[in-house]
Amino acid sequence: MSSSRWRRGLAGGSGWVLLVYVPRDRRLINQYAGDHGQATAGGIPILALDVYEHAYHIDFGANAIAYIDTFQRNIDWVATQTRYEDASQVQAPRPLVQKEFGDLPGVGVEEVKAMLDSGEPVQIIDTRPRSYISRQQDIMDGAVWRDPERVQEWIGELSKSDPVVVFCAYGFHVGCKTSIALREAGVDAKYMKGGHSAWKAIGGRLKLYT
Amino acid sequence: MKYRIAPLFCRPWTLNGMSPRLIESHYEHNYGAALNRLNSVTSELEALDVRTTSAQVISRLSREQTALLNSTLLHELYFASLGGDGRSLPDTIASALARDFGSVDRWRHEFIALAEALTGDAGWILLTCVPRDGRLINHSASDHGESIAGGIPILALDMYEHAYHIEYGANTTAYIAAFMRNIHWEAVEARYADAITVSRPRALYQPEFKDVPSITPEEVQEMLSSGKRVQIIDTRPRHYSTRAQDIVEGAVWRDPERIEEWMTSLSKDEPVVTFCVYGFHIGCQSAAALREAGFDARYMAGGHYAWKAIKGPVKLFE
Repeated sequence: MSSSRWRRGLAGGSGWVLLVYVPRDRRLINQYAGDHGQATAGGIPILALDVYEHAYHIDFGANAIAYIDTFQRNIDWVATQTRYEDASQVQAPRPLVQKEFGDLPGVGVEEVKAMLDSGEPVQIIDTRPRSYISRQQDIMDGAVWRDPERVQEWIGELSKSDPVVVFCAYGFHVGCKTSIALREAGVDAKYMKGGHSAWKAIGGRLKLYT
Repeated sequence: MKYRIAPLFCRPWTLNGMSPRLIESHYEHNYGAALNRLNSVTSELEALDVRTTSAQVISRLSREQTALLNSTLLHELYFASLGGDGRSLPDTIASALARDFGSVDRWRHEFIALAEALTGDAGWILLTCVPRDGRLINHSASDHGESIAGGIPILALDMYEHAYHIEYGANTTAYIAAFMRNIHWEAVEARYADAITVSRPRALYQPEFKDVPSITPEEVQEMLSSGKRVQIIDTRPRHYSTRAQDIVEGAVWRDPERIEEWMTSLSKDEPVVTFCVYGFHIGCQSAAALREAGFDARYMAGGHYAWKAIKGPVKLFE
């Protein structure tokens, strides 16, 4: 973002205004903290403006705008950059790793949604275990359920020219194993990361499972 | 900027006393809602013309954004906290807990007490590594926005009702016990190993004085209260001290520009501590000059103000 956009964001009541590096997405965010206890979980603040009255009242009275301008004039950007460099070394929270599936290709629910929204041809197979699905009320709109224990029986239905996305309940072993079986048979299959739960969590469309 | 969803970390069917139904509901509805709202608030904020939008509107959206961001981050940590047997703590994390809390058992009681105190209320209980001092701390956050600035949380217990109500009703004690039984300590330890590599906030560094030894105001106070003999010299500049109202109790003021004149009144058998107003160049230069002349001199880091900030005794400067 432009620096003027950043500056303008720095107006508020009493508390702290922070520029924080968030390792999860490797990005900077402005934060207004209404009291001393507010901060970004796991974020590394690299610039702090104290907007409690004790920080400016003696010199500026109620003229907070003048104080904020003065603060801006006095920012040590070299030190801020140094802190940014330190912060950018901080590891993002560890992702889920399933060693047994190595570099098996997965696809994010956001991408699957984008494929469906854009009308791209894709074959979406719900392979949640039979024991699980028999108690379920909903299924991803656009998916068909197939029993993961009978892959060989239904694999012939799939077209090898369109990509296949398979998923299970949460994205652990069932979807991955099915994807492996399909890939071995020459189908361009990927498993959907996070499974049906992640699809629901991003607000993906569902239909009644009948 | 779009925040992407993280898959569920724990395998819900493996948990002990917490059902897949509970975890699914929590992940799909509460975590999912936080993430989706975070994305919609973020795009709203990004679309604003911040030069013409009122500060109140920007601030309101920004506050909402950071609360939702924290809810997202903490929920991901919560799901990543579950999936173990809750009992076998690997050595590194066990000794870190023992170091910072007295014992693992003491840590556990404190953590559970913080959680119990949120019965009938809501919030988060977190175990956080604080890089400033390289230590672990438990803390209770009464809403999604609370956290330790620059701290790295490594274990999270969600005490909002949505985390337990469908299974435990109001019985938070049973829920907390179930959470403790399912802590994935190997994952906590891995996060701890990452957290301790985070560099602490950089200290003030004055390369020009890197060879001049310093002493903290706490150490000076300790010397004074234990009756150790020490010569404390206030070398705040004359133009500054003439307007000063107070001076460190136990210190004498000497003009830093006339060091050669008063140096001879000092004893070489007892340590000397010099300080200036804030601990930048003057105290350091005085200490360096005294050291060159053979005195055992150090400068007090942070100067007169650090002394006052730790509530060191001062007297009227006359």
